[in-house]
Amino acid sequence: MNAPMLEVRGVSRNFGGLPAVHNLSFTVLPGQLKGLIGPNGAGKTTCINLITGALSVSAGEIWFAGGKITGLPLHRTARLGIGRTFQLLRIFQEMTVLENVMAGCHRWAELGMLQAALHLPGARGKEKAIRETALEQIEFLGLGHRLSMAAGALPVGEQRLLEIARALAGRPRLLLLDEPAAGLNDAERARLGLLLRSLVGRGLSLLLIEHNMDLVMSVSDEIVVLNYGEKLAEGSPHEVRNLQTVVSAYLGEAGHA
Amino acid sequence: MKGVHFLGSAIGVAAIAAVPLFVRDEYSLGFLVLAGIVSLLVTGLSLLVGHAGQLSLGHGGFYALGAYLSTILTLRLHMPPLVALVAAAVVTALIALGLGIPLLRALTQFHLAVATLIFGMLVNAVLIVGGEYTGGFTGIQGQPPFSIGPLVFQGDVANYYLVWGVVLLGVIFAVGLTRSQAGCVLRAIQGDEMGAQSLGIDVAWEKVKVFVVSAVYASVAGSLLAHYTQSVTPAQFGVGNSLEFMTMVFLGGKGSVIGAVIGGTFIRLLPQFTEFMKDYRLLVDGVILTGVLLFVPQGVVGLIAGGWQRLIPRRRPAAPPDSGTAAGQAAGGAQ
Repeated sequence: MNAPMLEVRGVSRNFGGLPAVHNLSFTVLPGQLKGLIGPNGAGKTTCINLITGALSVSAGEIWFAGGKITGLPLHRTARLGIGRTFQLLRIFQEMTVLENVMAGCHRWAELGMLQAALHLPGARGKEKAIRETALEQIEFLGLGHRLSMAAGALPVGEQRLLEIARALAGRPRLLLLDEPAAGLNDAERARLGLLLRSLVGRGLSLLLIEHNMDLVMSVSDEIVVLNYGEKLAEGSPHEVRNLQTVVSAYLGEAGHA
Repeated sequence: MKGVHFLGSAIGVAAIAAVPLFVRDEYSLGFLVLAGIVSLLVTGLSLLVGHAGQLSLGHGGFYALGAYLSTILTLRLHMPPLVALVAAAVVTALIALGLGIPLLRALTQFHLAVATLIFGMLVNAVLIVGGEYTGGFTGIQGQPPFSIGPLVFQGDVANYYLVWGVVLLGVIFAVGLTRSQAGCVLRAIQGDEMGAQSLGIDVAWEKVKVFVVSAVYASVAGSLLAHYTQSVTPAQFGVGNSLEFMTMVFLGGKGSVIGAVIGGTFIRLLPQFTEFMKDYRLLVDGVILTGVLLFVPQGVVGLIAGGWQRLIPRRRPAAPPDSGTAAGQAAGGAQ
């Protein structure tokens, strides 16, 4: 009965003949937090780009909430309810924190140009809902004191939190996070972990790429391990940690961070 | 801050309304009418350039379409000027849509600049070889004055109020747009296209929409021009003009609607100050554009706003810790 929120079926992607992702399959269930780990260059970010349509697949299918989304461009998958953040940040630097997150409301609160410019009926109520949602997400991520600051002036860690707030403002059903803890200190990282769990508690599905093993092991329900673009293992954090193949391929060289 | 803005706007509107009381000679007032027409066009262009971050060197073409369509529709088909203005704007919008969909979907900013430049040249060429339809090099003369029902806008004072009234409407629309969620979306596109797409924003389509809106501004400006000067010739809509419009946008401040009006008015009035500037208009434009881009990239309005903020220091949160350390941690975390 528990149909998957996201289903990746035999997906491959080549770059100039070299496979970046090869025959990869996994699912994310509703309300599940799935970790995606692997050494540098294992194809984790490529995987997120393939799911969201920022890159097209060479083979395979991607299903979201019961519908096939293979080949849809980035803005269409976002429209359907897949939110994401970027490893190399893509915030709107010259806009304020509030404006960044307000732009994130576009998915559910699109205003026509005429409607917006002329304050036609409906526009005011919508603008208010947009503002309230944005403020709520900014508070949730702990950026309330930065509201009117230019996003580009924030420290990198807070820029990452801002990207999460912006993605959440779109009220996604699935959120893909690409190394959200990079640039955070220990306290911030711990808080991020709690925050991710509370999102899952609200029914959001999450796919988390993360290098910090403590974080990913403590918050994930299940973990997929990638190596050279292929799935090396999948299971609970406890199972994955004890698999010899994983230890030698990945944890052995990078597990002590 | 809102009160200051409202007061500033009220003073601005009152000052513009009072000008004909002080500028009595028709000659000077005439230039202010022309300045208003150009300001209207530049206001629309600033939405495209300043908010969506797209360059167009072809808005002289849309300007020409408005002027010639209004001329032909009123003189040949005997439409009332207001109906002709709306019809011209609709046709121009459709042409902009047809042009914008392939251009803005497929091309980079640089390609767009070149493609619109070619569009402007093409329109100009059509005007010149258009024979009896466009009047060739000498254009068409004898347009009726603009009228709304029984209200006829004859003479400089009437046209001054007509044109600046339309500028006011154009500014209200543009400001409303930029301050709304829709303006947020446009600036997001300028900020990071992929980031914008990840929020469900159809970047290409949003660019097409604002391109069409800016073309409609140009068309309406062209219609007003035709009825005011009662003469249109291809020379009024050359490529040099399109470049000048861009100069006006950048001089005023590329993210500012009011800046567009200031830039448009200033550069249009410039040739009236000295003979030199009349003879070397393109050269002067070039020098201004280069100077602005090099020394005042935020434009005049940005410069003034910056000075204002320095004069009134706002309470800001303490400066964030050096982002370098955070980046260092990021690198550390990836080890």
